[in-house]
Amino acid sequence: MKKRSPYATHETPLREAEQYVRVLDTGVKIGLGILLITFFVYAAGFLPGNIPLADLPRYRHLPLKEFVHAQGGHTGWSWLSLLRYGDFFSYTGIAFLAGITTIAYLRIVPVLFRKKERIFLLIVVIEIAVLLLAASGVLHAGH
Amino acid sequence: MLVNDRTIIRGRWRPPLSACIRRLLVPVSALSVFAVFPLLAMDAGSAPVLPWWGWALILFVITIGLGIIAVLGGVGGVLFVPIVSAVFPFHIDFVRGAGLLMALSGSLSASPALLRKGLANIRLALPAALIASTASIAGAFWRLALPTNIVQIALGATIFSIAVVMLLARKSLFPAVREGNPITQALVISGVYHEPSKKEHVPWTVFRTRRGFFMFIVIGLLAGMLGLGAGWANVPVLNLIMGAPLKVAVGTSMFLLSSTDTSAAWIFINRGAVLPVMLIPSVSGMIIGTKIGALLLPRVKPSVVRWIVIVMLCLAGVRALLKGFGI
Repeated sequence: MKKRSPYATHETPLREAEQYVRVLDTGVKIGLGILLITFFVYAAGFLPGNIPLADLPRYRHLPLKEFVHAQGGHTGWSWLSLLRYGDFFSYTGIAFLAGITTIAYLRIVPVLFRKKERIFLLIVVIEIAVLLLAASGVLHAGH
Repeated sequence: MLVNDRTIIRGRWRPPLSACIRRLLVPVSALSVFAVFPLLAMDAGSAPVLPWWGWALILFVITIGLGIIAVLGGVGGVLFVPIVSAVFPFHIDFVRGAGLLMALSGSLSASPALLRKGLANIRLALPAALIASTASIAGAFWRLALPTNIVQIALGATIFSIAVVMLLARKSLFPAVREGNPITQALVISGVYHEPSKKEHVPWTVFRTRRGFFMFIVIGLLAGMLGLGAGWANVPVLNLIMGAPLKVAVGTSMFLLSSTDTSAAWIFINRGAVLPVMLIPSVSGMIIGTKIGALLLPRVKPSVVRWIVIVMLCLAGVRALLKGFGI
């Protein structure tokens, strides 16, 4: 007897779900690892903070605009040029975790293309565009 | 002498120590969240009494408690923002950023197992994810453009609404679904999962897709605006409106958060509204708490946990409203 796929929708196995799960599974483990390691480097003082850890209680209650100003006005992807500071170094794991979903969607594009799933392909491509737009920092908002 | 997991000592029944600990764990977790409030309120002044690691440690311990309650109460990360913004001296923008990333981490780590078991369905989740993640970006911008007191008031009102939904919402294990919905047929939204209580594979599909997908616009806006985990809203929409079986609704809701929260989280990251010192202890505490909660889940009465969650939400709602009105 043929073994039932756990991803089955009636009789059709969902290959895209299998691929999505693989990316997610590996990505989460790597992401959480990076998150904990980078935080340890920051908290143990191997890298100094842009705002020193001891001074943080003076800033943590500030509204975002004032906090960012106190931090030197760094927004968007500018943290990439500030990895010498522990607080920005910790952003590596945070950004990786936030990027996993997009990578998983990118992985299932060829699967959906091969299956000629036009509607779902369109949905996934638009979803990737939405996530990339959000990640790009192109969108701005403020008080 | 052990009889049916109950210890009889000198003719009187006494519950074993582990059972007492299990029974106490949930109320103690709930109380711990509010017990540290006076200390943290003192620390909010211009001369903090705690070093940075002191409040990071308290946050870590409290998020373990929240993680336990989150699993047992079935409300995901919805407790984090109201509770932490009520009792910690962090600005709500950072609490919301941490709340979103914490809900995202939980969703990312739970989704593979849910997809493998057929309890989350990618075909049901994808259209809802696109709608909700687009709306959550709008919600995140809306939030960042609004004054803090308005957000606190909106948060308080929403938390009270969640408590009401939890009080009144019915649940349907296997809803009756009318076949022939055109969107369901076009997108082939259906699935099969194994139901241990029935010892069989249960086929399912959904209907009322237009109404359901419209509701995801509202859910996405709220998730982006308030940084709340949206499981409390996703599950009723998927289960009661669209007719997905309860387990599929819960699993798909968890999976959905990985898209909804990702788009809003990027807005917060790009605006600099993420404090690693706050985020990382919270994520770690929540992961440990949810693991403990999952171990306790078969042994704890759901009704007790439900009432604890409702009371905590009401307290946090009052606190958010008071903050919003400047009291």
